[in-house]
Amino acid sequence: MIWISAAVGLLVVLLILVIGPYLGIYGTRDPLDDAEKQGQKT
Amino acid sequence: MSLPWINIGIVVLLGILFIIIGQYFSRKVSSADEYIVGSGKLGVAFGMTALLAFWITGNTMLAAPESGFNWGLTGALAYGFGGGLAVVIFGFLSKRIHQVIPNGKTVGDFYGTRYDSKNYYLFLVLLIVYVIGFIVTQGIGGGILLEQVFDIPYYLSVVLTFGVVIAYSYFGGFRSVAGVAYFQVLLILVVAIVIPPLVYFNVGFGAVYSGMENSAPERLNLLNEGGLLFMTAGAVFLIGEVFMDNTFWQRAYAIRRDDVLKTFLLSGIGWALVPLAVASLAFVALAFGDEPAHPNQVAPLVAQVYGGEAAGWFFLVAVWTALASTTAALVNGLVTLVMNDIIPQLKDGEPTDEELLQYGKYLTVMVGIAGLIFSLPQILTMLEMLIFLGVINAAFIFPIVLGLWWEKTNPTVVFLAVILATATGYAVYFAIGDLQGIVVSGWVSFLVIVTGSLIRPSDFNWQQLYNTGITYQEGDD
Repeated sequence: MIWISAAVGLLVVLLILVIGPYLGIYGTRDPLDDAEKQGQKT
Repeated sequence: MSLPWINIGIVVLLGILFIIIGQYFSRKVSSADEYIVGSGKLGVAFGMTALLAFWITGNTMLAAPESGFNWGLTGALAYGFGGGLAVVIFGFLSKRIHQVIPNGKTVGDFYGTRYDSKNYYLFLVLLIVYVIGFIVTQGIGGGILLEQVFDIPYYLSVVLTFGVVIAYSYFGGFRSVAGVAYFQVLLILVVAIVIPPLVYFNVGFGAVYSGMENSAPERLNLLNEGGLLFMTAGAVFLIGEVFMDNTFWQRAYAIRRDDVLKTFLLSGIGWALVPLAVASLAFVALAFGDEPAHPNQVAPLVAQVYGGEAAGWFFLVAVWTALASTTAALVNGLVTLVMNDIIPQLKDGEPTDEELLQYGKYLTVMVGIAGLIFSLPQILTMLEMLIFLGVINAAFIFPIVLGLWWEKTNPTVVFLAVILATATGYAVYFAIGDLQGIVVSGWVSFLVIVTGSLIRPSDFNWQQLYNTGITYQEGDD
């Protein structure tokens, strides 16, 4: 059971990291725009 | 022993059809870029078929029923869940890829620019090991299946598969592979939709349920521990496969930016239905006590015994089509990686577009023949090989995810994390269990990168990624 929990935990961490930015859970700053805005400056 | 000419004839006819379609799509290929990512303007329909044709692999058609046979309902659900989730999550990643590195072409473009050269070469070496291993799983799986279920000698079926794949990928590269994929997916989906219901109507749904209740009641238990571990740890290695595999990055770039998330979401959901459908065939074998020579062969055996001879042939068509499309996509994915990431560094001076295109064609033949030769000795079974390579896949999940979103991700820490994760993953793989090795590899990679990068944060300039590949894209939008 401990291995199943470890695998579930890993999947949850991954989901938070990948989908989190789209849900705005990291605060008001939208990290999705950063690279694009920097790119458009040049 | 007389050869089964009808079965061989089906495979040869299909092969000729794929080669003709591949030739048709190759007419428009005039540059190395088109050989690598096509026009970069695939919409939802062609984008989905390019994704589905690659991801409905020989494993989907054979190993999904195997997991249903081993772990019952949970095993069948696990395969569909893991593979589908991987594609859905990569959809979110693809959107970010289009934003931060819009002019890249391969996963190597990202990894090489985001990190340093030591990371880049480590990644390329392990990626090439993984891709060749994956190509070999398709060759071995196809060879064993065609030999044991359809009586086509192993060597002949491996040669036929690789011969056809090399022939249709040679001329048009990605364009041919994606074009043929459209027809391959139609074939596979028709079989996945028609054969399982046909079998169930023949034997009766109630009979299968009561048969399983009597002969294998534990396989009806959704909380089966082995099945749950396969569902969760399996999802981790399938996600790792998708993230580091260049074939998915190619498709992310080949699909229009506005459609990319939608395409991956729909493909993930659509894909999950295929392993679920074919895995349900395993329940018939469990209910009626059929024991295949190898659990891998349970689905074709059930299709043949309970669906009739025609159903057996159609299943042969679907499995072989899945094997061919996946092998073609893998060969093309590896070739494009070498064209884009290795040849320019080996050659003195920038290769011309024409030279690069010619290299791509030669490489297609070389990689195809390498896959053919390595497939002949039958080293491991398909699922064993995939789980073995899963330790490497899991180690690269977080370097890719954190590298795409977190500017503090430290390249030296990533390098150490990948080595440490792979080493501890394999130690656990051999000492405790294969799926456990994958979980450990993922956790070690994540914890080392986050802790190390918090202690010694980097400050990556996203501009570097944004500018990658920009000089190669003149004339494009």
